[in-house]
Amino acid sequence: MSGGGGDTDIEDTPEQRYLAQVAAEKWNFAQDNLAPLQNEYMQQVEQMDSPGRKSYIMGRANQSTQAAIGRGAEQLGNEAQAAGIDPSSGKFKGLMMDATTDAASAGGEVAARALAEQDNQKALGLQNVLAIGSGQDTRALAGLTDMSSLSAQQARGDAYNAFNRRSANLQTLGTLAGAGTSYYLNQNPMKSASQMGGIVDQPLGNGMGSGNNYGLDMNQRYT
Amino acid sequence: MLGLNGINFPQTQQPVQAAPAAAPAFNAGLLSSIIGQQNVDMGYTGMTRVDPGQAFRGDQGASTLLGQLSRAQWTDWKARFAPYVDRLTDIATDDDLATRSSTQAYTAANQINNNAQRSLQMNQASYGLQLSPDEQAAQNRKFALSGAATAVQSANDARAGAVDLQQSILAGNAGLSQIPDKVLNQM
Repeated sequence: MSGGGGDTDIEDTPEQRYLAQVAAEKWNFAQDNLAPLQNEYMQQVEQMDSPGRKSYIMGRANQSTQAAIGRGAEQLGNEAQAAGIDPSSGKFKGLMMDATTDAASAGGEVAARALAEQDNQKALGLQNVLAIGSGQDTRALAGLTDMSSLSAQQARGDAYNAFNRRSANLQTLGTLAGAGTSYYLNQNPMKSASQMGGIVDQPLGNGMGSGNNYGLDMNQRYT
Repeated sequence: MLGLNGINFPQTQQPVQAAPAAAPAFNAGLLSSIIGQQNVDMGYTGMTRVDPGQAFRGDQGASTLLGQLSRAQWTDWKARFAPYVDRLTDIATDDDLATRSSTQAYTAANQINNNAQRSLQMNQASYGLQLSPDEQAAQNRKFALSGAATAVQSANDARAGAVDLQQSILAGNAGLSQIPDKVLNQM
């Protein structure tokens, strides 16, 4: 039996040495080949809310809104002509103004939301960077084209819908004016045909029943 | 350059860089960063390396190498990832974030409204419509009221969204769970 003393150091086994060597080589490989990609991702995340990108998003939303306004105005004019309404009349001017402000409201909200969402995406990207650093899964981010396309599409759709609604009102207005029922246009919007009781004749009842307010509700908003 | 423990230390930290000047097309305040920007030091790659040959030097070369590896990983994380803990902390505790986000939304909605008003004027001109002073005043009022309503609504939504973002960060995306303990446990 040994009486103690002597060298108490424990030597590494060959297995430990090779495992350590491989671990070191893996680490160096990651530093040489993966770290640059991580840095590239970080850089891209930092650029997500650059002035250029925000300008691009804002431009897409703005351009789509203005295009929808132009197209809507043209359609409104055509509808007015078809309905026999004088484009120089106060009613036509008012409809065009209301449709444009509706479209502007839609476009403004979309633009504001798109910019805010881009900021949110950047914050998600920053969280992704941390997740990468701790070896966790990361989430995919919506890209600039997703954001701008969605905002442009929505701005265009919302703005154009505002004109379509006004245009539909215009058609109804023209028909009703021709039928000599302009009296009802000066009334408050009716909620349903039943509320109008016996004064509603059948042709009007359909319109009222469907919630059409003949363009008189200034609080009307896109839905 | 190798440090005393065989690890390359980073030469530079990530410097804070101000956002570049805004493009002239839109309001400058509209295009500035809400949550801040930082310049990533792209040169800091491959510097935190270790020597695999160390494993076969001396009686405890492998043990020493694994220790160096652990240090290298921690050093790399501190240099490249730890700043993002600070970034998220700053965002989550930024008292002005909601205000800036709100201002951005307000400005954006106003900008669209102003452009729409100009579009309407062009459309009216294309129909040869002349507005009387009263009609013009009514139109201006309508745009002012509608634009203000939309801008305020957008601003309020953006403010609420910014607070939501801050709370989501505080709720678990910037805490101690981000410390790379898994990596250390693998040693």
